[in-house]
Amino acid sequence: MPVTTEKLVEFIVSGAPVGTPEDPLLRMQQDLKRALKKPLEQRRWIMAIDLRKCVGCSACTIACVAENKLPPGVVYRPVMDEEIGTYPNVTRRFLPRPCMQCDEPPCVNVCPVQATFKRADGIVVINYDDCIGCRYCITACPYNARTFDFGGFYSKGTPAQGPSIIGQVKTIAYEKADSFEYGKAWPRGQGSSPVGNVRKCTFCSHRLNAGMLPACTTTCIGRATFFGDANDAGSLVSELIGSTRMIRLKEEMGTEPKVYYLI
Amino acid sequence: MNYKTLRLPLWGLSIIALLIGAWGAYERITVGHESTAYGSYVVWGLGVAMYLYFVELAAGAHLFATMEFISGYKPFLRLYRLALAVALAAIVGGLLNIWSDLGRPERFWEVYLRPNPNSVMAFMVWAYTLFIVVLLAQMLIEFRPEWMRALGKTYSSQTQMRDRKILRILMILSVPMVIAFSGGVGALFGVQGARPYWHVGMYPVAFIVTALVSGAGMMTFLAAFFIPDHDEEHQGLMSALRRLLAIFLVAEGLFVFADYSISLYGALPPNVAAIRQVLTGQYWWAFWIIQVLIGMVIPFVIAVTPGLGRNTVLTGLAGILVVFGFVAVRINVVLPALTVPEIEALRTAFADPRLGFTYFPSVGEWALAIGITGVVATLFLLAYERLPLLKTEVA
Repeated sequence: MPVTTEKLVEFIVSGAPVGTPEDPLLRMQQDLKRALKKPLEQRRWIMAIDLRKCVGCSACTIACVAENKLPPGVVYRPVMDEEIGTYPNVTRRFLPRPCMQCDEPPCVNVCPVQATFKRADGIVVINYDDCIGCRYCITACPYNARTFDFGGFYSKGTPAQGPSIIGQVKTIAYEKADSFEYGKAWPRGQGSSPVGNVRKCTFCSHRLNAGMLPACTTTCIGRATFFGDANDAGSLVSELIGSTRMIRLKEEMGTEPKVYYLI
Repeated sequence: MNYKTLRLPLWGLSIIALLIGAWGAYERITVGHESTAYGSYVVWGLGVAMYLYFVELAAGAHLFATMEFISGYKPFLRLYRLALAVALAAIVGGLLNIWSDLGRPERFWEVYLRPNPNSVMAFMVWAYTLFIVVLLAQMLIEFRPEWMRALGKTYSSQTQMRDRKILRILMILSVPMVIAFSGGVGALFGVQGARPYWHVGMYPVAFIVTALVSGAGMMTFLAAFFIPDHDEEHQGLMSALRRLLAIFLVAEGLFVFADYSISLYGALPPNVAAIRQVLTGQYWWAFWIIQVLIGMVIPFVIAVTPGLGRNTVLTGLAGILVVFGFVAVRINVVLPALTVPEIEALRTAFADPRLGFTYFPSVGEWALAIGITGVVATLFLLAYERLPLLKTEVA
């Protein structure tokens, strides 16, 4: 088999020798491209997380914070760390918790101003320009998946000037950089939205629109996070959620979450 | 003891509260929600608790304004204008608390422009608006003889008869409306399936009972110290208020007992955790001392003990103890449900002061809550001193 430039790039990206099984990221990228050719309402984005592969490095959490420029008090994808068993039979379990993008989202019904809603592709979003910051939706979410933007900065209270990259002078520019959630620039530092708004994971909808996988998915060092279109029977995620290892959190709530865990 | 004795301390306390509140408001305007102690998990705090408190006080007071109409017991008419004034001041306080608690308070009007018909909160905003409209209409008609005379016009007995009819219609309309918005606040919490502590079917009814207790407490206090004529009719009024206070307190106690005991027996872990926090947690004293002892047991003992109950001063004190103690009732509704994680491992998942499950109000939050209480007190005292609240011509 001739080694084409495309195959060489795949090799560099995936680290897998040419001809070996495809890296999940490359396959998901292809799945994504296919899905984006379909109308919005024909896509059904889901996420699958293989808990046997998650090592609890929190790279996804940090990638999410960086991608969405999340301030203090706001987190979209914390990784929960549980110790299980009694010594000497102990182990740890890591469970990343993004927004479940519920098919029956309890957060949507309670919003007094229709600022949060489910898009045609199933992603639950917030219109920052309409949200009044009452936080009723946060209390309604059974997964604690929504957080409130208090308008803070991580560098607040740090020395003005420190060595290297430490200190407010260097870091504040980064913290005030625009967030591009929902495909729009949200400047920070003038008290404008999303300060005073509720914020949540949107499966990086702005990245999806640009043909990129969510930041947490591309950053996962163990290839434990999978993302794609459940309406595409040939997609990797569709294969994965057909497994007997699949569970969803709090099924009893009737929220029909679209984040699946492989245990 | 009467209003003359209390006037100076009441005005003094109100002005101090306003000054403290001015600082709290300045801080909230300049620093925003960064000055608060709540976070993204315990997402509601003192502001929401005080909103509930004042809204229920407004509902309770308004129900007492219609008590003569409901019961036919004439001495309740002495409370009519006082109760309307309390209801107006309290609803202003409630709405100020919740408005200042919004992340984007400048957008509150969105609830009118694009309300979500499925949201209990949207329903509540519309209910408050309707309540305020009806309340203002009632006050306008009730005070019509005074303002007509002030304008140099005569107020004929024919006009009085017509106004009385309108007022009775407004009263009939207002009773189910007040019950709807008072119970609606309970529904606002009760519909939350994600929070077992709040997800109580009887919450709307329990909230109406709490409103009645708050209203009875406030009216007992006002009847004791703000109505100067301690004649035979006043004795009858005090006796009726005492009885009502005792009955409502028993009902409130039953609701709390039924809710907590059934929840503990059911043993749903998040519910048990929330109730244990109330009963034996860090702030156990807020329940046992402020809510139960000060807000319920002492006033109940005063109300039902003949020797104590006949003492107007003691009865008035029982009323104000209820008014004070029931702040804790509201705090114990809002906070416990939020201090229990919906997924236990979230406690340690992300280290951030705003992502914890403990809460005690910040100085700024206390200042704002005290200030808004000062606004309510000042509004009422101004109304009491400037308007003839101790009589009724129309009702």
